[in-house]
Order: sequence, then structure tokens, then C-alpha cells
Amino acid sequence: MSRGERLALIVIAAVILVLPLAANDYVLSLMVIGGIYAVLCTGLNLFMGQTGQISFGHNAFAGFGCYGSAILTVTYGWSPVFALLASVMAAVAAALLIGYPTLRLRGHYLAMATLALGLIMYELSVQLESLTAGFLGISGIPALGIGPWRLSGDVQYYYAIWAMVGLGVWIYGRIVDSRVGRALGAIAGDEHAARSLGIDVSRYKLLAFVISAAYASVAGSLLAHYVSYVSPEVIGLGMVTLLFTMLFVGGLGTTTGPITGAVLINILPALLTRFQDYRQLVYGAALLLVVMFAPRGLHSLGNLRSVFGGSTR
Amino acid sequence: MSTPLLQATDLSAFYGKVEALKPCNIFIMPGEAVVAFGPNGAGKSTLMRALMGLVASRGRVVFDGADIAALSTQMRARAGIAFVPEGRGILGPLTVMENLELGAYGRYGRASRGEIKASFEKAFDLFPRLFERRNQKAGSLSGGEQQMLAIGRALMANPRLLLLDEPSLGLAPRVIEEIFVKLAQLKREGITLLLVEQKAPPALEIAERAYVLRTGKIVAAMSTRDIEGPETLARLYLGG
Repeated sequence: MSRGERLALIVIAAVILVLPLAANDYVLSLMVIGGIYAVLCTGLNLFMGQTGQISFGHNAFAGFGCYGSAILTVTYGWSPVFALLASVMAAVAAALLIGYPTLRLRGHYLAMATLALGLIMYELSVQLESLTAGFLGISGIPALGIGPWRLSGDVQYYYAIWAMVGLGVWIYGRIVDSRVGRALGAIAGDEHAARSLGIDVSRYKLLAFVISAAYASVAGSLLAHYVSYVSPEVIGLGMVTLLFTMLFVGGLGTTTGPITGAVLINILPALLTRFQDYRQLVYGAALLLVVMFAPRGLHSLGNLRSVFGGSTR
Repeated sequence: MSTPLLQATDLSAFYGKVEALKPCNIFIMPGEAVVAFGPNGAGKSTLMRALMGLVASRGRVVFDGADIAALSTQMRARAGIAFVPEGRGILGPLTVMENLELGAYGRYGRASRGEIKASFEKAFDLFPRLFERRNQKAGSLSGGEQQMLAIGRALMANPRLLLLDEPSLGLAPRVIEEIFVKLAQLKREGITLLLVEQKAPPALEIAERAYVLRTGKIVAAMSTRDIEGPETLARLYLGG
């Protein structure tokens, strides 16, 4: 992690810490959802940004979290924390099982395979009515908590979720700055060169996939417990568009990008309420503009010359 | 007579169904430098990639007495073959040190910290400029420095055989000369070299033997002493 990114993280942490003093409940609730997506994007960033792979299917792993927590707590009366942990284990097992054959694919083929994964999860959430209640969804999901103690109110959720973001970013930073992180970077840079250096490319791709799936599942569980409701729409293709927009706008492959992207894109609809109907269009346009003019998202803004014909990297 | 360090028998390579390298035989003796040259599209890089297990191939490849044809690329690297690919394959966002560290990846757990530190020192002794730029992003290095880094990184694996695909590509004549002086030094230190080169003259100076490839076939194998001048080279490149 660069010194600039460390500094940016400190600034973000300071703002997050004092924000509840000035913000109302509505802003805090937006920040809670933004934080949940920041967890998801941080994990996805490990797979896409750091390892240079592509996944259109992490909504499936978020689905494991959402539905795992919902079903285990509402139907079976589990404690939310245990439900969250069990959902993560299920997501990790599924990622191992699916990733092993899928990650042999590259580029468009990998993209299509992961897209199929997301679509299958969506279909399952619709079709397995006895478990998921289909389009009706599952409501009454209890708040997150340990034992008899439950999080209540936006301020408590806000600090709990952003503590999870902090933990997620810390783990991400530890991985990226380790030998494993450099191996992942080598895979992103040139797979053949990485193999020639003795790096077990398949193993590390699978590792990044599984870790990012765990992040997605945790985020899914947090979302279910915070909103106390889950339905198939939550984990549909819209989530994929949202994640991509957040990740690319924030800055793919950067540590702070998933946080800034998640918060900004989550707040944007609230700022543009008049254009609510055009939300997907705005996301699409934002994604297009970023990919064209600022491939490192908000990180590229320091180099505006790129917009006017200079190098973008 | 000693046995070859590397011997490939009936080695052919494929891109999909296309046979890019027709069945060929090559061998490299320990401590030897061998050059494979030929025009564009002759199959030189494919030969390298087949030896490294980076393309689908058939045939037998024996390295240091063991058949490695069924081994994955990373296992071949761990067996002692290092590869400097065309285009260098360095990681621009990482520093010089981090790139070098990646070169020793296959040795972690097998080599001591002291041995890996010695490899760093060896790479810096060979290319002092890498030491000066050790904390610099690799992407900000010049082409020549990047090539030095690619070779230095390959040496971090402590290889017995170093495969170099077009090490002179895109470099200024003075830098090419510098790179080949270093390769000659490596050869003197006992590292076996197989080079693929379009610029034959500097490679012929350090190599004992040469293979000439045309249209995916090895069409000649000879001692470099038998290549007398530009006319011989032109004939070998173009045939006839």
C-alpha cells in the first residue's frame, strides 16, 4: 500500500469517526449500506483489481450471506452471528467447488461462467420457495448481535459496519502487502510470467476467489440483518452493475477505491432523486466515462491531463 | 562425455489445432550457451514456451536426468529452469525489489533466508543499476533496465538453465552489448543458457552452438564457429 493510500485511509477513518456528530439518521443509513457494499467491493477488488480476474457472479456469494442468514435466523432460530459464520462457510465451500473448474477459464469465458453463477443463484432464490419464499422474500430477519444483545439504531449499526469495513480493509492490506499479494499481482500482470516464476497460478486464483466470496457473503449477511428483509431482487443482476460501478468509479486495484466508490455510488441516487428512474442509466454512463477517461477511478482524477489525450496510466 | 542438461526429443507444440512447432530434437550440455535463431514466425519463441510448458506440446523433455514433459510450468521453474519471456514480463506497479523477490518465489520454504539474500546480492552485483533503483517502480525503468530486472529476477530462482526469449528486443545497440556482456559473465559462472534471438551476431559471440528454425522446423544445427559471416547468416535465415 502506498503512502498516499495510507494517508487517504487515515482521512477516511477520521471522517467516518466524526460523521455521526453531524449527520442525521437518513445519511447514517446511507452510510451503513455504503459500508456494507464497501466490504463486498473490497473482497471483489482482491479478485478483480489485485489478481486481474473478472467476476460477474459475486452477487451469488452475497446471496449465500443474505439467504443463509435469513433462513438460519428466521426459520431455524439461529443466533445472527452463528448464521453469518455458517453462511460464510457455505459460500467458501461453494467458491472452492465452483472456482476449481471455472477458474481454468480466462477472459470472456470466465466472465460468462461467473455470470451464469449469479443467474443460477437468482433462479434458486426464486424457485426454492419452501426455503426462500420466492419473490415474497424473507422478512423479520433479526438485527445483528451476540447472545441477547442486538444492535439497535443507525448509530450503532454505523459504527459496527464501519468497524467491519476497517477489518476488511486491514485484511486486504495484509494480503496485498504479503508474498501472496505479490503473487496475485504477478498473475494480474502476466499469467505466463507468473507461472515461469514458479507461482502456482491456479491455486492463487482460487484463493483470491474464495477470499472474495467470503467478503461477499459477510456483506450479504450484514445487509440482510440491517434491512431485516431479503428478496431475489437484492441479489439480481442489478447488484452486479452496482458493484462494478462502485469498483471502477472508486478505483480498481486501489485500497481506498472500494470504499469511496461504494459510498459515492450509494449516496448518488439520494442526491439525484429527480432522476431516480434513470438510475441504471446513470450507473452505466458513470462506468463508461470512468473506463474511458479514468481507468483508476477517482484515483485518476489527480491526472486530469489523461482526459485530454495524455496517458491514462 | 557428460549427459545433456536438457534434451528434447520429438518435441512439437500446438496453438489449438495448429502445429506451430514441428517435431524437433534439441539438447543443451551443462554450462553451454546455445542460440536458436531464425526469421519472424519461425517457431523460436514457441520452442521456448514448449520447453517451459507454456503451450500444449508433445514429445519428451528431459532436464537434469528427469522427464519433465508432464510437469506444469511452475514445477519446471522449481526444477531449475528460469525463463525471461519476450517483452520481459516485469510487473510495472511493483518495485525493483518486489519484482526480484517474486523471482525467488519457488524457493521459499526450500532455501534459507541467507541463500535468498545471497541471490539478491548476486543480482545486484551483476546489475548495480538495479540496486540504485531498488525502491523504484519497475514500470518507470528504461527498456534496458527492465531487461536487466527480468534477467535478475530469473536469477533469483537460482536456475541451472536460463531461457531468454529475444533479450535484445527493442534495446539500443549499447544496451544490447551491455546485456550480452552480462550473459557471457553468467555463462562463465556456470549457468547454462538457451537464447532465442533475431539479432544473431551478439548471440553468436557467446554461444557455442546454434539451431536455425524456419516455418516451425529446426532446419540446421551447427557449431557457431561454422557461421563465418553475414552471407552464411543470410543463407541460414532465408534458406537455400
